Amino acid sequence: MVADVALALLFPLELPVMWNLSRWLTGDPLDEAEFERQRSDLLGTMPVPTLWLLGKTGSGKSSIVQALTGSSAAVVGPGFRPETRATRVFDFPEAETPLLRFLDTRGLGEAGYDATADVAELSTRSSLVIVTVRLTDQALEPVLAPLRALRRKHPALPVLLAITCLHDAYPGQPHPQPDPFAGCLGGQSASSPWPPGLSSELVRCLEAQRQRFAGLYDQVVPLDFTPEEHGYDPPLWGLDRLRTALLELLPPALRVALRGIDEVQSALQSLYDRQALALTLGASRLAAAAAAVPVPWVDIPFVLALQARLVQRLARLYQQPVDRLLWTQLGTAVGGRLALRMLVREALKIVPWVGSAANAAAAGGSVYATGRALAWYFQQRRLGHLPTAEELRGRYQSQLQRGAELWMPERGSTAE
Amino acid sequence: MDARTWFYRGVIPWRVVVVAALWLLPVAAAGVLGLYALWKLRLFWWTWWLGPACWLLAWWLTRVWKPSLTGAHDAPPPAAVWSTPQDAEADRLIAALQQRVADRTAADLVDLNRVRADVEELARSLAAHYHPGATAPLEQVTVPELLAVVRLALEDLEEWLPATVPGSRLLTIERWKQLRNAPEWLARLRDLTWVASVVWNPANLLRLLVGRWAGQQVTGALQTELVATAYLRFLDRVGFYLKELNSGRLRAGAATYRATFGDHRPVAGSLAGPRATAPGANPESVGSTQTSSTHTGSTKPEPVSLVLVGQTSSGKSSVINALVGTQVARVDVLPETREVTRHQVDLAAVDWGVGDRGVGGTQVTLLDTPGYGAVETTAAQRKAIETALRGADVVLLVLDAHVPAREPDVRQLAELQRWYASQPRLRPPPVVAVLTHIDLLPPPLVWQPPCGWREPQSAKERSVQGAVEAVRALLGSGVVDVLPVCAQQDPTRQWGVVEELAPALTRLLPAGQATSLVRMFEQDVNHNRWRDVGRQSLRLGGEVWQAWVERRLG
Repeated sequence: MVADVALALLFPLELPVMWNLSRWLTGDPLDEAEFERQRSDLLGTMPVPTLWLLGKTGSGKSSIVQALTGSSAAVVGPGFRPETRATRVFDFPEAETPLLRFLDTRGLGEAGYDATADVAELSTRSSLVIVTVRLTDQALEPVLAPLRALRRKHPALPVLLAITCLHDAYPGQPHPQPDPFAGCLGGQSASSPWPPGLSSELVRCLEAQRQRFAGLYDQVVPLDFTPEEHGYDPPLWGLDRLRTALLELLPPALRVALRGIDEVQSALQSLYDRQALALTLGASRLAAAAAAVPVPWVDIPFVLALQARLVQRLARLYQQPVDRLLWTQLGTAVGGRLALRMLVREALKIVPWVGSAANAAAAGGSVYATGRALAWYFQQRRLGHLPTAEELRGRYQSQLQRGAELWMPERGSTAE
Repeated sequence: MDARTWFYRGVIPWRVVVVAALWLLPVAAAGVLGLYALWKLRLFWWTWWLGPACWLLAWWLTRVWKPSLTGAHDAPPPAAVWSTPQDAEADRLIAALQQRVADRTAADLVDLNRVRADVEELARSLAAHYHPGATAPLEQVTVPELLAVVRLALEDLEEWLPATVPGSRLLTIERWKQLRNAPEWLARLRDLTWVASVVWNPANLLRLLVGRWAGQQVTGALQTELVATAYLRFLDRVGFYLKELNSGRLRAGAATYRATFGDHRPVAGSLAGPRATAPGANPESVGSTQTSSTHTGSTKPEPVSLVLVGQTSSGKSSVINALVGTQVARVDVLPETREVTRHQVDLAAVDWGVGDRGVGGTQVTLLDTPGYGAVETTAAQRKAIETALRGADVVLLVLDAHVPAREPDVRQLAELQRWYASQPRLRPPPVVAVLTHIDLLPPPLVWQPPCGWREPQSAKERSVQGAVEAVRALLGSGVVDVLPVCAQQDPTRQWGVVEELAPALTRLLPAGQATSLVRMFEQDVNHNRWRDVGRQSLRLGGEVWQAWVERRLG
């Protein structure tokens, strides 16, 4: 306390900074309310890529959320009654450390639902709109009217037109093989983007939808996401196209999050590992954002608290105890270095922009490496092995570089 | 007038008397011989007690077995097929009054003052119901309407009396007066018999007392019951006339009323409705305001028009093709129907399962409409859909089973209901929801006709049932039925139109005919009203002129 007062007297304007620094030096943990305040502040300034799904009820909005995240949290209905009863915000992997946010609108055209207020409110919160439309649905007044208004009001908001339920054009038949749409992505162009070799009904329906939405979208993708038990091969037909289109349309600063999701999706691991990876990515992204604040030492307690939470969360996921042994091993593996590393990179922040970008990458990277190393550690303990501190450190080191690359802003774009 | 005069006038021919006497003689002889046999066998005294025993039993039954007059009237009497929702509400008012009246005693029921009060109350409440907002609802009725209802009632009485009162054809006014004394004569005769039997055997006194006492109880109860039943019938009848009087159906006179609605007595469910005027009736005239009937003639029934409405590409034209059995309407994956199209169908020529019901020659008109809910739907198309709906006798709301966005359908249905609520004299058409494209319901790769969807076994049948339930929950009482069909062009994927929809439509034809009849009647009457005013003025002017000329000349 004496040191605090002395520092405050020396640098009266820097009092908050000093307070944080002193708390970190004296080892005070960040209390719950303070952590929560800083977290929501960060989420307020850091743009979480927000995908807004807009379409008639039963056109497959929730199926897209499911396909993109691999999570079953969005309920997909049987297709003959509206399933999403209220507009929902779905944070992936979880609300505390979101990587990606979905705004799942209640279906347009559902009896008794006036979308005007929802559309006005959600348009300011989203970074991209996915408009879903069934291939054979011709009664599109409920979609086109709000979409036109939206496009007029927010011309810069990218719109992806997803034409769903392709199988309606060939009832009872399987999907055409090999995939005729492979590598085909339709932008706004006068000529038809559809590949040759499609059945004439399919082309006419696709073309009819494209004409109806002319000028209202930036990219168009045909897809068909069906539950596995329906027997279509593949069940998630066109998921790659959707990912590619999203990457092209998202503002560069937000693409990294989507790449993170890709990492989760492509990891051929158990459900546990996927969840662990998603949680780690979320926390590491938040840490990177916190470190991007160009004031030295502001983020240190927050990043530490975030890391501690991640440890707890992962332990809960793998049903492993957080005991003294763990902290000791973790301390040996990363602890000492972490403290030093943090002091160095905090000092970097004094050099504006470049400094904070590098610093953000380092913070995100260290959280990422911690999460990955811990997930491996818990996995081993579940299997009955007890890894040594050396092995844990090895894991941490190997993941550090990957983590640092993860949150580096893309070339040619500014880190915001 | 004595018996000889009857015979003399030939009211009862001798031949009948002789034959009847010969016919009854063996029975009468058997009765007399039977009594004699009982006497001889000394069984007479045993059988003698059967009488008092039966009377006591009857008395006991009247105490235990209570009449259920009110229960029988819980359900309103079968409504006339042409009754509108407004009439149904009036029926409830009548039933409410009957409910109150049913608890009265026989003496109260025949009290003329009370009867008058009841009728007045009924008249007042019905008039207020049919003319809401009028300061003097009872006075809203025109004088010709009042005359027409009196004529109707008298005509019905004339029909009713000979049909239900035995011997009423023989009832002269003189007999009517004498009949009033009949109960006295009967009582006197009965007393004499009793006196004689008591003199004969004093033990009969006991039997007499039992018979008197039990008889009074039983006849009292029966009397109350009969009077109450008759009174409730009477109120039904009065209510019926008041309904017809206030509903405006009599404003074209009793003759037109009889000619139009006469064949449609309240016998629901039969197809004895109006037939098409002629087999080759001009189909283009349906639903327009044309009419060839004169004021005093009846409204000519037209073919029932079944109007199919629904969102774009929901499958209206496909359903029509399946109903007709040939490709009469063009269908495509993209919207095809651009204007309201009429298809005339002779029910004798199509397979609707009605051939054996004697409706051969019955024509129906199927109206195909452009879909709504698309941005391409023009204002003119919307107007055409609306006009078609307002002229519909049966509405088929076609819904795509696998597209749950039903807001436009709900809106369309609500709009129709609103319009009919503003037209209380018309009868809203029954609406059937037709669920198409059930082959695309999950699982989409499997197709078997889901015949057992009401008790589902397969996944498809469960989906079909779920879809039907969802629509039922959404539309509720707005539709009379929800039927799943598959009307794809591929013949292996056709199911339900013949199996489910056609029989349902056949059942709805009487209701559709009633809707058509009421609408055509209203159109005719409104159309003729101003022409009549002109004609009446001319005639009055002519008469005055004639009278003046006659007086001047004569």
